[in-house]
Amino acid sequence: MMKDQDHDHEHDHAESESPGHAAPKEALDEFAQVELAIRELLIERGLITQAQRRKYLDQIESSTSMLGARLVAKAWTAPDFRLQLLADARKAATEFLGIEILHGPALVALENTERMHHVVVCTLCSCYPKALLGIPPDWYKSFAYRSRMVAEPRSVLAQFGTDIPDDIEIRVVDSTADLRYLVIPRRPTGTDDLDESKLASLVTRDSMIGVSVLPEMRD
Amino acid sequence: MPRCVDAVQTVPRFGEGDRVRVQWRFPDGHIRTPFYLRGKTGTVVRSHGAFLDAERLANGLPGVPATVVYQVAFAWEDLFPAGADARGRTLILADLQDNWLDAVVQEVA
Amino acid sequence: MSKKAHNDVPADIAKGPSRAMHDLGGSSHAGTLDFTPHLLSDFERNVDALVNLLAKADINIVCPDERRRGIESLPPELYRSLTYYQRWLMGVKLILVQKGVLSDADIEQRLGEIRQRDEAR
Repeated sequence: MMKDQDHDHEHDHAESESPGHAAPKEALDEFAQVELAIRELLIERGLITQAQRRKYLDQIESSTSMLGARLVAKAWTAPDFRLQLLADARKAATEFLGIEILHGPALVALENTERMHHVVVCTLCSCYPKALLGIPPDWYKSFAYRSRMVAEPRSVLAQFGTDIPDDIEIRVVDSTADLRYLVIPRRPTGTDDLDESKLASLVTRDSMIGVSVLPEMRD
Repeated sequence: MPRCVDAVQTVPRFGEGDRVRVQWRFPDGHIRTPFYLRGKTGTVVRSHGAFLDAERLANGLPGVPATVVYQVAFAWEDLFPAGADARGRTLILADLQDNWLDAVVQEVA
Repeated sequence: MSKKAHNDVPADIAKGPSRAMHDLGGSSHAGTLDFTPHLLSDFERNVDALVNLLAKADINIVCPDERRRGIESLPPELYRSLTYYQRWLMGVKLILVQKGVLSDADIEQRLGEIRQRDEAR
């Protein structure tokens, strides 16, 4: 995949279709122009509104993996909630977080244990539980991750510095339909004294995708 | 439009532990059955219930009749026999629409 | 989808086993993983908003499955050369035109106006 093309540099404007003129620094590149053209036309025709757009942009601006982390910490500390999350993750998440994710795709929680390690990929596109984990990292969407995670999972995990012992079954979950997956990482040892919000702060995005495990806590 | 429809509308054909084979076909158009699983045999982990048919939705159609989506597990070494990654046990799980799955009646031991 | 190929042989058989460009699981596309953190640019955020608004239940102009079909219909060279959000944009544009929501002429005309505005700045 090509690297990101932020045309911030004034001399980096090869694709501009305005002939013979150096584009001003803030000029939109060809793709940004297309986006603007489509957006303006849709708004003028009343198909989308500026207010809907602002609201959405605000949401993605504020989205992080914290909601997912709160679910994990709650599951670690409340056995009933853990069972609810494993049985119907969308219902449990909606009730606990008080956010409306009912209209998105279904949600499934996958629990990592001492016998089983889950890791999530989308080989066909880039399906990701955005409502809980925020915007996906670039590597998750890359051709390399999408092609290699199913074919050589242990090598790919090794690139994340993750070594899963041979006696733990690896389950690579390919997100091929309308279901999104949240991995519940194993609770690190040495965290018995921590409360739910402290625990939530330990839970990383990568551990909820399953490409990493959480480090043990030592004092 | 809700993406997940009421499960009672469509009864799953397969249950946990059933052996299924993914159809060996290569249609044009938008499908959600990965190439690397076509023709492979796996085991149903669970039925996710009924969903609007992605193959119809992709063409601007309403997505009905709904289809059951199953999570199916495949032994990694059955998919990538030449893989250099063999160490411990690895499963690949994917979510597949009912219209891509056939029951495996008899397997050669 | 049982669309028939032009020669009346079912497309499945006529084509034989072939992997679509986006269908990457186990393919040789490999490459190494790049862990460089990346904050979304304005362009990327704008495309994200456009595409997701069009798919919202109460708007429902281009659903995610249609958008994916759009992306998968891009010429393979283009699919591979575009960035992630460029692919989203071009995929959703293709569907908007195909469904008659916007025409190519509409978009071209507006692009002309935008370029003039840009130059006038």
